[in-house]
Amino acid sequence: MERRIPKHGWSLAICIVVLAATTASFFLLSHSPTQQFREADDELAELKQTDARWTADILSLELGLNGNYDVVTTPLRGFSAAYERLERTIAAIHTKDEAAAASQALADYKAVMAQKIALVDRIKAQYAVLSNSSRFLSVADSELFMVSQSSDVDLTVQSRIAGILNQLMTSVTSYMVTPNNSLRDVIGQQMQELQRVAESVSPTASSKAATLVKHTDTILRQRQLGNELIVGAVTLPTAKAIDHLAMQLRGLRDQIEAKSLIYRDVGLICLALLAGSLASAGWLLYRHLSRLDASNSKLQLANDEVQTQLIQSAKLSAMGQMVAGITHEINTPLAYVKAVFSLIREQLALVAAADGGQALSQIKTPGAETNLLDEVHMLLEEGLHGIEEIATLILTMKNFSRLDKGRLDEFSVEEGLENALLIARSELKYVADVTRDYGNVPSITGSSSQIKQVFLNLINNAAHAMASLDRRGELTIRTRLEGEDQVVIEIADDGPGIPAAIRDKIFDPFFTTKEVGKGTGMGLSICYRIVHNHGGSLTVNSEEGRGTTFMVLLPIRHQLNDAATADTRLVAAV
Amino acid sequence: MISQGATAKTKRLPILPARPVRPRRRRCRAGNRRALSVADWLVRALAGVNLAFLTAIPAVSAQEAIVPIPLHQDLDLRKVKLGASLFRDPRLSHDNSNSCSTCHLLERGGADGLPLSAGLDGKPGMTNTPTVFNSAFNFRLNWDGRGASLATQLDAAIKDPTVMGATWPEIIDKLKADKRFSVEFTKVYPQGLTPDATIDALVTYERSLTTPDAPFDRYLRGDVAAVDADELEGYRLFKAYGCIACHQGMNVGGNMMQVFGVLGDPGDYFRGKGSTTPFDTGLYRLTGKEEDKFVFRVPSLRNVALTAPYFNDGSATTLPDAIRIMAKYQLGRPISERDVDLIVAFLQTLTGDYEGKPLDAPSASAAAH
Repeated sequence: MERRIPKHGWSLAICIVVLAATTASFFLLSHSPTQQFREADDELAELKQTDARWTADILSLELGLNGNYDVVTTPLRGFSAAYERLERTIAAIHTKDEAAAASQALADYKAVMAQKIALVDRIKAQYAVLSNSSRFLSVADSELFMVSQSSDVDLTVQSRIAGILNQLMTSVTSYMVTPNNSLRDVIGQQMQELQRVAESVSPTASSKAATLVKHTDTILRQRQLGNELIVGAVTLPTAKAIDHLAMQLRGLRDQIEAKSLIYRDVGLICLALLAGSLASAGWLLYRHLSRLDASNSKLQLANDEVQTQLIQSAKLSAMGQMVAGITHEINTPLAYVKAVFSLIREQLALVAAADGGQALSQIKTPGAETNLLDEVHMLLEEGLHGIEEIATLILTMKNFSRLDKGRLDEFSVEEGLENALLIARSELKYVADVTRDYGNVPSITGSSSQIKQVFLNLINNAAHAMASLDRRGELTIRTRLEGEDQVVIEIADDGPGIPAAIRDKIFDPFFTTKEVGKGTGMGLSICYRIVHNHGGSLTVNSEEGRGTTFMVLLPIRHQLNDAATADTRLVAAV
Repeated sequence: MISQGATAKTKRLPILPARPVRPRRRRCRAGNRRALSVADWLVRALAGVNLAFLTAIPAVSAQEAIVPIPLHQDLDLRKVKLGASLFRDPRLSHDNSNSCSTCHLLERGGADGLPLSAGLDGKPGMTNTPTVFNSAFNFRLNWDGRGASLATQLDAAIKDPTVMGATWPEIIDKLKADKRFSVEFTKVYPQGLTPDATIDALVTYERSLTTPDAPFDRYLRGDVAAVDADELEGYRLFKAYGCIACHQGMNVGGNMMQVFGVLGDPGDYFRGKGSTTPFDTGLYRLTGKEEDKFVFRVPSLRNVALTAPYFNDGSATTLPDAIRIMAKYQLGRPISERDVDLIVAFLQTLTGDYEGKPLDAPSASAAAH
């Protein structure tokens, strides 16, 4: 068990670490670059706005509302900076070909913007030329007018030139506002007419007319070009390109977010697994601790029992030593006393024989009818009987003290039980039936005579207990194998049971429930000692009114070495 | 001479081109008897006004066509210092002969005074050197506008075999060999000597090369005494002739592209001087588009008095030459010498200060070293 828990623990710990790492990485993966996308979104919104403003500035340029071109050139730097940032954003979220569409959209946008920028460059150039020529046109006009007004010029020609100039100015003005081909043709005719008339006036007038025509041509050309350029620049789908790019980016974001949602879910599952692992680790720990606790209390119990047994053994051992001493000391004077009593009895018999029923036989005890001699004899008999009793007690005590002297051999406990039953048959046969429930246990090593004494003692006790019943009792004897190396012998009666109050004392020496003189109180304590000396245990389980079961647990111990050790232990215990 | 009254008139009536209209009106009163009806005059006057109203940029501007250069730049001075030393470092060229300052001499208005810049191995470069001053305010760089930004122009110049002919790895290796420079550099740029950091230092330095507080800028800021009457008349002419149509904005140019040869055929000027190079075709060299033939970036006229010779090929030796050529090919009109002189006078008021000293002052030249 101790090896199993750490193994579980290790694998669980590894599992937790791996799960934690997986969870963390999945949550990291699930972190979508929302910030970047938001920035890109803002960037695009701003670009769109800038583009719109730029377009408005370009248009107002054509209306002469801007003092200079700085207004329409400054956005360019912003554009290129924005491209770079967008490129970086897309590059940062680029995973395989997911962002290819976005990159393409950006490239498309840049391409259309490049077109627009080129167009705006041309618009600026075109507009500068147009404004210069149109401004100069009135100067050229008045110069030609002045040249033509000289006194040597015919008045009708003067008037003709003034008229054409007026018409031309009006036409050009109209053309500036609404350029169209028919007006262009009209202007062309007017210019031809002007040149023809001016040629007839003077070379100076002719060159002035040529300059005027040149600038008018420029105006016509640039006005037309300006129209085309403006229309081209304004209709370029830059806003659409931005929208397309924004859409692609949003698509990319959705894709990435969907993926990150999956990652997040997997992360959550991993988290749940992690929580489960932690919980089972906690449970395992708890179980481990409670097992430890249980073993601890078991050990405590065992320890207490061992302590109790030690005390018991010590008591018995002390008893044994004391008894050995006392028996010897008592036996010697007891032998005298017995010898003296016997001698007195013999000599009294001689005295009675010598008297022959005469004088001595006539002496009567005062106040009694009986013969004095008979009286003395009877007293002697009583005394001798008492001495016998003492001798028996001494012998018992001696036996108790000499438990270590048992010889070790291999024997069958079931045979031992049969032996004991046979001896106790006289005690048993009127009080109880015997039920045998043998488990056919293997033979054990030990002192067969001592073990038999234990069995006999227990059977006798049972018989005595059942004798007090007003019915016939039942003695059940069971044997079985406990584990591989122990046998259990149960001797159960259905007698009155042992009162709880005295259950703890039954193995104490000299404790007896029998009337004084009927038991020595040594039986069970001797049994206890014998069984313990064999490395076994003797326990009792009793319930008042239901009966008592004594359980003898004995090791099998076949090895002689073990037997020798046991022998040593037996000796040492005494 | 130009009267003070004319100036005042210009200022009061910016909508009408003053000179052409005024004599006409006088004529109107004088020549009434000469068979022209009042109605004719009315129509003509209206037509002239309408045209001017519809087109003239500066005349109806909500803002002035030219705006002053900011007086202060917010730059990291440590980077400026690093960039200044890199600017003069010949290790930026392949053969350690040219530095940026070989062509962009601060004491020569940020250019080199040569028709064509000095290339590698003693061979001339391809175009005239544009000034480095105020280049940060240009919308694009190089004559054909191929440099989209200071950084890309710089990168291209480094790699251009006719300019620096170098590669970044060799430059970085050379600079890294200089332990002291390397250490100094790393103090400012923690990433150390990298091409990007080197470009950034140089670009930051270029951004510092501005010339604010020119007399004309002071005039624009309200200091009426900063320019004299001739100079102001020059400005009026600058506008009246239409120079301002292209040379406008903060840099008085540098914010648009324009074809060289507005009237007549583009490129007439180059054909007129004999030989042409692919660089003379301007943007066309890069795009191959017919409409880009002879299209150039309009150069800035800031400090223009100091950056002769002029044009992409340096073919205009003096400022009056350049003005005359512009009037002919761009404006399509004759210009009197007096007007040229007055415009030159105005252009000279565009010379600004660098590090607090006028760019053409000797002390400024000394300071530049």
